[in-house]
Amino acid sequence: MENVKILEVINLKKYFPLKSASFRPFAQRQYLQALDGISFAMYKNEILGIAGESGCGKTTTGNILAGLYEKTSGQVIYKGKDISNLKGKELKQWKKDVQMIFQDPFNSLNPRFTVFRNVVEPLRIYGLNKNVNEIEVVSNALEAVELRPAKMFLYRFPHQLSGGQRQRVSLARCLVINPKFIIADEPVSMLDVSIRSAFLELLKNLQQEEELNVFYISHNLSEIRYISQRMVILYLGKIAEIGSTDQVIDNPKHPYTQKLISAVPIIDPNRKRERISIEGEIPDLVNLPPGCRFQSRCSYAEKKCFAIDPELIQIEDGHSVACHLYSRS
Amino acid sequence: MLLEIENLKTSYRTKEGVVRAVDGVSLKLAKGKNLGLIGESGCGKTTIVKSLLRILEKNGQIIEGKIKFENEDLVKMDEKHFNNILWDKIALIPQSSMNSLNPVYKISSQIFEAIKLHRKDAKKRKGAYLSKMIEYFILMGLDPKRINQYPHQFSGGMTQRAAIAMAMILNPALIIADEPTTALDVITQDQILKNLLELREKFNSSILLVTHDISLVSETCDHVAVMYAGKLVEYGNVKEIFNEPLHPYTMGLLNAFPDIQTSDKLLVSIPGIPPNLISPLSGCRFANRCPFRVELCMEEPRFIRKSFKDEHYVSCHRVDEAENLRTLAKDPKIWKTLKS
Repeated sequence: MENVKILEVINLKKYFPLKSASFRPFAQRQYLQALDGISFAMYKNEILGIAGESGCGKTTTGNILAGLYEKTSGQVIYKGKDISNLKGKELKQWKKDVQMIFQDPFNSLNPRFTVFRNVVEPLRIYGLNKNVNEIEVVSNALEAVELRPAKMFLYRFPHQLSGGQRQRVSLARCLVINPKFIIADEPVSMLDVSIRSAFLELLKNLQQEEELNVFYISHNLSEIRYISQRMVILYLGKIAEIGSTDQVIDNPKHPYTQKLISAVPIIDPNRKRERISIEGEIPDLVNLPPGCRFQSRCSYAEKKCFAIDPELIQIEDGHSVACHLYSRS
Repeated sequence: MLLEIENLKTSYRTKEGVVRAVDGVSLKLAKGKNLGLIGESGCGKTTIVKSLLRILEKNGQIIEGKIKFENEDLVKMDEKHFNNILWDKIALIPQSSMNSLNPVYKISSQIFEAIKLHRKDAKKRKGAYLSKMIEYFILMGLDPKRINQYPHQFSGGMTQRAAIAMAMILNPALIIADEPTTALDVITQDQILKNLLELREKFNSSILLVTHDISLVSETCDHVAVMYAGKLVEYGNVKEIFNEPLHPYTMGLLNAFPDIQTSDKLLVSIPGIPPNLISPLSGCRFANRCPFRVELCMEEPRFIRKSFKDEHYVSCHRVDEAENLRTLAKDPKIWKTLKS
């Protein structure tokens, strides 16, 4: 892997103000800390997996990168520039470069548009070369996602397609304007197991052929293991662990990662899984206690963990963890 | 046998025609054992559950077949008798407990409601039942102080725990769990399953686990039934089916599942989609997606017992070549040669 940083996220925060709080004086307003200072980089031509439980901020991160949410603070740096300072042409280029695949293939396509119209939409919005033959471009995109022959699919409506085919149409819609980034938010979680791997395989191949960068959001660690080269484990809006997929899954360091991995059921009935039990409740994201966010469920928690929030520390090449167990003291 | 389903056929009447959602399925579940029912969406697994519990939609109907529970046929049973059995002997753990609990009643009142219906001494011995409720709450890993709270004060995982406590309160012989942990996070899923299995063990109940997640079945069940397009394609002991599947669909499914432990497993994908269950079908229903189909597959295969050391049934014409097919099925390329 070439180590060229293509995108860098620095100390990204996203606080959602609580509705009930809007009548309070400013200083007393309450916020839900969906993301509280995460930093990571994406290297050229890689699939980065983002894993964590619901509410950990993985979708929020994706939505900020896609420009669907305003961030509260922090920076997202692309080609040396912070994306929130982009204007005019540059902003349009960035928006064109980043495309998203949503979780639900049944709601993310316009049901009244044909496949052709759904896929051609971004092409028209970004006003690419007027002379291109739209049908040809769309057909090529459909063929690229293995909807063959494309002619068969062009004038069908989404309701005539299966879930897997719809998700391919979503992917074709991304590809049609040659993006640099694809943000895939649980793209296969609503598909049947027997066709999931075909979509993963397709995404993997396209990523290599087209030199795409994929930001792959999923709660399913087996899927992330299969598809991504590096991964991030989020816990309640903070990065718990980051590293290559093999490092994180074969040699998890953070107590949370260890528990998460030990909770994944194994398909092979001949292997027994060692369960690491986990106690305690997940704290409320509005009134977070001081110190490490995992303190209430961690069996290694000591005094320090209730006072100081651990920083991400590099423990081996490319593998960092935010836990006091590994701080040099 | 605790539960024996014999040649069950359930259909739905729709505008387009009759959908034969379950088309002649036979299953059995022994007391104290767990059976996993797996298959893709639309294969009929939930319809079986609905037929069993008499909660089919208005357009659904059991055409023929028997559902024998403790040697009584549930299909023919009168309403009153059936209602007595329900909850007392057969309990359901629903997929989304958030929607199955009544939001305006306290959890404790809802559980007590179920007890009142089935135990005559409920009012007299309220104290005893309350302490039983608390015991079940603790067994399910819930804080007993929460027993008088309302469902909205519970998180998703907690309502699921409460729903399980509620289902188990009368020590039913059969627990039907329809995708019980699909909406939950891995860690919560793991804890809840652990609690459920411990509780089951304690009272020697049986679980019918309906799920699309085959790894859950591999870890929790003794037997597994694989469904495809309204038919049972394979049934047998978990170890046998996972180690030596006989039906190409089962082989494909097992090879399609990513494994967290290994990064180099080649995943296969089964191209195509299941057939429309409205149109009259002939032959093996998996034939159009099966890379190993031969001409014979135009005829419907019989559901035959293949292994005698443990009951292992399969419906495939090429079952004698299964060992060879298993090796071939591991290669994703084989599956790709198919054009659907």
